[in-house]
Amino acid sequence: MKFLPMLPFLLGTSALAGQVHVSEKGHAYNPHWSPDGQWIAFELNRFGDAVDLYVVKVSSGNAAVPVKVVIPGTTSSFSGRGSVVAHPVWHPEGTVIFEGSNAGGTQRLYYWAPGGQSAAELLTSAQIGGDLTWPSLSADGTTLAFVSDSAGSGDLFLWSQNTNTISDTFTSPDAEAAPRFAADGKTLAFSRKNRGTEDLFLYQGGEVKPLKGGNGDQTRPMWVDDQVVYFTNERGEGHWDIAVTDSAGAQRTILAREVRLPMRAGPAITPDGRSVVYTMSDPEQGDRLMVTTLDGTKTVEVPTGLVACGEPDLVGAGGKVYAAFTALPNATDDPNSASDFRQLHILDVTGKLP
Amino acid sequence: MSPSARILALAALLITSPVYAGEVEDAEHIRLTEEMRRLSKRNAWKGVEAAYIELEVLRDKREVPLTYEDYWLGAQSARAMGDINAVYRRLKLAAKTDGTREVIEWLSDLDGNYGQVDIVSRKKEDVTLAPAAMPFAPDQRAAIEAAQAQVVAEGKYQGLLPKGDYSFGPEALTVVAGGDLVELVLVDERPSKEEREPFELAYIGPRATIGPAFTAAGEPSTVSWEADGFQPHGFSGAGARLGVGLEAGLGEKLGVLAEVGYHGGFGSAVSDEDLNASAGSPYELAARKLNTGYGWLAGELRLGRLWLNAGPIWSVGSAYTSDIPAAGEGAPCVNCVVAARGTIMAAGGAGGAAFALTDIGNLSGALSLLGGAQSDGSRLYTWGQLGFTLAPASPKSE
Repeated sequence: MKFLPMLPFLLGTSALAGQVHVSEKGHAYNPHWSPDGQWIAFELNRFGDAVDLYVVKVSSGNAAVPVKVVIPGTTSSFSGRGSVVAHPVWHPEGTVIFEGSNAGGTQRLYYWAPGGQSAAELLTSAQIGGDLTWPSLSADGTTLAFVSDSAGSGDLFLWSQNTNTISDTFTSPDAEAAPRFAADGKTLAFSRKNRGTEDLFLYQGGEVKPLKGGNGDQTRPMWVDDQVVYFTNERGEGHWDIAVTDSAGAQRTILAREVRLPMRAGPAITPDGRSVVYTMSDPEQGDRLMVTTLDGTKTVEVPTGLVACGEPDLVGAGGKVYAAFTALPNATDDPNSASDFRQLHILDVTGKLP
Repeated sequence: MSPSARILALAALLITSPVYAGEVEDAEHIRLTEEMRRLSKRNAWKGVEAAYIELEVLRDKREVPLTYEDYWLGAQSARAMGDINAVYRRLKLAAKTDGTREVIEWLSDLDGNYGQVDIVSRKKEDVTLAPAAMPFAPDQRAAIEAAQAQVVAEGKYQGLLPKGDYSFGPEALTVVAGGDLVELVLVDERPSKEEREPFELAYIGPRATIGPAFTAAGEPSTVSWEADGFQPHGFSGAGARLGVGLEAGLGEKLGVLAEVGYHGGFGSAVSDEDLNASAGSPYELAARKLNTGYGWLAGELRLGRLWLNAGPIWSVGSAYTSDIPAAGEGAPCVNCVVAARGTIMAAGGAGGAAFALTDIGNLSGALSLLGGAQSDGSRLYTWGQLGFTLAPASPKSE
């Protein structure tokens, strides 16, 4: 009889999301769904000197055993320490593209297909030198935008699948980052270090146009139709908000305040393109996913039963909507877990979005 | 030391020393594996490939067994070089050494994305291999580019190609992953018997040539006045040639002709001075004469108004000559005039050039310069003719 009053409490607070188990110790970050919703690529920060990339198969929201993606020189058979393998983006055909470097080496772009061959360099140093970062694909996957420091502080380059050629976009003395293709596959939104802070720009028709500046950083743009959703800390360092603007930069709306800034990702967008998904920086509100419509009229909270939630990414698959995110177990409810590491979780959020 | 120099040095070591895998070979194996490992971390795949080839020499000549890691890195270097067939071979060897998940997955990936082709072009003109769309995966692009390069260099490619649609010269082919071998041989098209247009002569018509000629009968190999074998001294004289025949054009430029005719030469009689000097005249004395009939077959090349022809000729006829034999030539008299009459059969070649001046109906009139050389086995007969030729006109060009 003493057990019965406890039941509603356990049901109401235990973890609602499925956990992806990784045997190696480290914090999970930056999950990215494949377009078909069958795979998630995510990073495992092992601290010290290494970041690993894992890919896990997901069926109906249930994860299989993650597979570690290794770059040449660090295979699982003769692994070397100190490699950084991170920042995955998915090609429409199911290949994951990511940054990778061995200890002391340059950061290059690699590709790997689940269940396929070993990872290999996507662009050779003969094609373009320097550190290559911030990969971003057009919707049809035929054009890759990335940043290379081969010419200085980091410029945007475009690689064409059809011609296997690389073209630079423009030259600037400033560092560019976080390029994102619009639906037309030609227009890019990106951020640029501008007098110590980041501002948003568009690369359109061979020209660079300012999109959104202001106090603090405006960064990591994401396109939703002709709108750009991005993070801004215009209210001061450590105070991140999510804003949306039109492609002319004329209208700007703050959608959410005091959000948790992901490690590398831009704002997460729901599969229907109507809402942005985020988590809160306030630890008291770290147990939920927040979803706000892009017109700012409605916000819903999706409880997870976990704490310190962050890094959300959503996909639609099989008529359902799944969220992948990282979180710590709720030690109060689950003292046996006693995990110090953020783990990847998958949550079915079908019907819970505005 | 360059990779090629190292290979040569290693080959020299292997040739000059007995075949067994010992400490030296093991040490070299370790060094090469370490080098491959180090270079692979920098994506320096050319260097990895060179080291792997050295390892293969060690394996084949010194029976040094390669490890899974050797084959694994070798497969990756071959991939970077675009040699997908070597990738497959090395992965198979790696799988035999240790069937790890990663090597099995890679082999499965190749089976799921590549198909075997055997394409050859025997066409005269160059052909290219082109995919309908370049794939995204760099290894697939590299494999296609390597195959394209081989097609350009050798006109053929045999091995793996990424699945998809291609064009090979004018033909299309579809490579199915893991499917049957796709074989395609390109040859120059020849129309079928039914498709071929019936042969038609470009032109055909009578041919005639007439004009003055000069003929020279050379010195015989041996001068003889024997009754059963007259071979008098050489002689020459002006005359005429007249021939009629048929000429046909096999094409606009190439034709054949057949001609029969008369070839005559007339020289002066023995001079009065020689006649007076002679003691008698047991033979008829008359002017030197050559009367032959000939048959000539020739091919003709027509370059606009200029016609060039050449072919075999055969002549038969008679000759009459008179001479004052020298002492020791076996003549029936000394210091006398000897006349000789005999038959001639001589074969050889004749040819020349003609320049068409005018058209006369379906015929063209041309100024021709002909010449020939014939032999009867004892002497050479050479001749030349300046003539006027009537022959079928060339077809008018569109």
